Amino acid sequence: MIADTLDLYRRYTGEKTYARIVRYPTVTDMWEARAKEYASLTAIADNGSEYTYAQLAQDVAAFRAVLRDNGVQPGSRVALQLPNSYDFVRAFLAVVTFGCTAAVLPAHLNAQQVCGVAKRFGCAALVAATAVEAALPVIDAAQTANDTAPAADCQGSDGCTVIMTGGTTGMPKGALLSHTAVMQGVINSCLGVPEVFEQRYLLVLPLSHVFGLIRNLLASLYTGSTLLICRDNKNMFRDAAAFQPTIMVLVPALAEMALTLSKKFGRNMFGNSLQTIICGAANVPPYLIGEYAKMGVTLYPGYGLTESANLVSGNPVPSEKPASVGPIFPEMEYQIVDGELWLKGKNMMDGYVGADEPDAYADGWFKTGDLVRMDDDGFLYITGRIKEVIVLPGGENISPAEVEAQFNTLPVVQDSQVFEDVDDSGRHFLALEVVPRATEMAKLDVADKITYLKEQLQQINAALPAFQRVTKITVRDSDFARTPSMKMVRYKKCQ
Amino acid sequence: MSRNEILEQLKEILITADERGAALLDLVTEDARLQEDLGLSSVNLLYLIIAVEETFGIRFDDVGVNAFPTVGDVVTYIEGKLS
Repeated sequence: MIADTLDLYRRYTGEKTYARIVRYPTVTDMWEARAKEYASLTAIADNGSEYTYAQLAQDVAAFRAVLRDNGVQPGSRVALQLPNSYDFVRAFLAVVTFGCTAAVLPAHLNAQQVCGVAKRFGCAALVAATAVEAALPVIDAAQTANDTAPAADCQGSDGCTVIMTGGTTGMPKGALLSHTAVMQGVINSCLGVPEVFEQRYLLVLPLSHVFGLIRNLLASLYTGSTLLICRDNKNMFRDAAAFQPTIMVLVPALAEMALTLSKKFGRNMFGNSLQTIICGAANVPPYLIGEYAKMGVTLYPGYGLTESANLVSGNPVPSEKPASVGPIFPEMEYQIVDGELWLKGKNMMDGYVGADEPDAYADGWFKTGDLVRMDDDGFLYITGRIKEVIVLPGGENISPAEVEAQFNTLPVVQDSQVFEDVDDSGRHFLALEVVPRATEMAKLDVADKITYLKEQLQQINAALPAFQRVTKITVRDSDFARTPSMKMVRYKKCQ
Repeated sequence: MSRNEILEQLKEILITADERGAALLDLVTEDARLQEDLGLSSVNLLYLIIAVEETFGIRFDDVGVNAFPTVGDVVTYIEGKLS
């Protein structure tokens, strides 16, 4: 089915903004056009310096000459391992507009890992900030040239970037995204958000991540916005106070942290200019939408994957449907197979590099692994991950996230986990653990708050379909273990 | 400000660091390790650093968020900055 959502998104984007959305076949075309259109505006602010679009274009052209002088050939793959910085932006745009594919590697990889990944990705060179002993040519990101090199002709089907993704097989691999895919991801960034052009972005997400690279950096450049690069996240609020961002792209854990700090210190820590938060890359707790709305900030939840070059959907009416990640973006093809979302579309990757994932596709459809449902208005809800499904002895399939979402509606619940447990007799049963939200617990005017919380949970439990009900409830005094990307580590007690 | 006063203010911050509140307070001693004993995540540590800066009016300008193995190490750093 093709998502027939253009009119809907057009309406919520607003005609004024929608009229400014122009399609470019490649990132090179986009950059060349925007660099001229916004020449005098500030493109990047980093480390105390500001760079206009014209200055950045000049520096990008000069770095293309650096690539040329280092023997890099258009059409090859070039690895980038750089922290968030102006050097990253310059090198990325230079590599891509030189006709190469930029494999953006996370800053936390050590030299040995970088070499291993770059080799598996078939990279011809590595651009890095520090000297690295590597089996491939290393180009110093600070290198300059006395002349410039022109942008190369390229097609939408050419490779633009490779972004690492954890995947499920344990072997790190990269999602290969074409220019067409990346540009569609950039266009999708503008849909459903009325105030998206000529904004002030504060970058706190890594540029090696799809959300940082496409939704943050490239969307910022596409829209003539200014991107302030926060080099150290412990300074993000000082940077925000000085820069006064109007829009932030955040993962839920950071949005929640900022909210808690804002409440504690009685002011919006991101500053009073902030109007918009784009939130994704993990499940967005619905209560964040209401809490930010009280501060005059619209938090738009979205859903996307590295493999889909940024968001697949974004909720344009978060206050009306706070639990939804929104309608699927226009022209994407989708089907829901046994609850799992399958996708096709311009923004989808051309496949993995560095490792095989033979089960990723079925009949040309990318299998997201995410379990979803869609309401009558076409709004999407994520109900779980396919690998998280619990199959009870009776054959019932339980999506833990779907059940947890019910318990998470209690403001006093910070997070919850539903899992299959087994007792001494070998009986399998569903269990629930919750982490209470201390600020809400503190407001409770009852003698025994834990007992009260358990009673509230039991009431929700009793209203669930019988097969989804948990038989054991535990209130934790500590958070769940988290992955480096702050996703909850799920128990595997019965595997 | 005495070391004990700093510790008490640090506890006030920790009760909102990751929503465990009073349950976390029982674990907070100077010897408690932030990650291993208190179970603070990377975002919790970021919160802690930022809230300490706001509360004490100091800057963690020469260290990263992972520079402090224990609660006592944080207290010592604050003490040094305030003196």
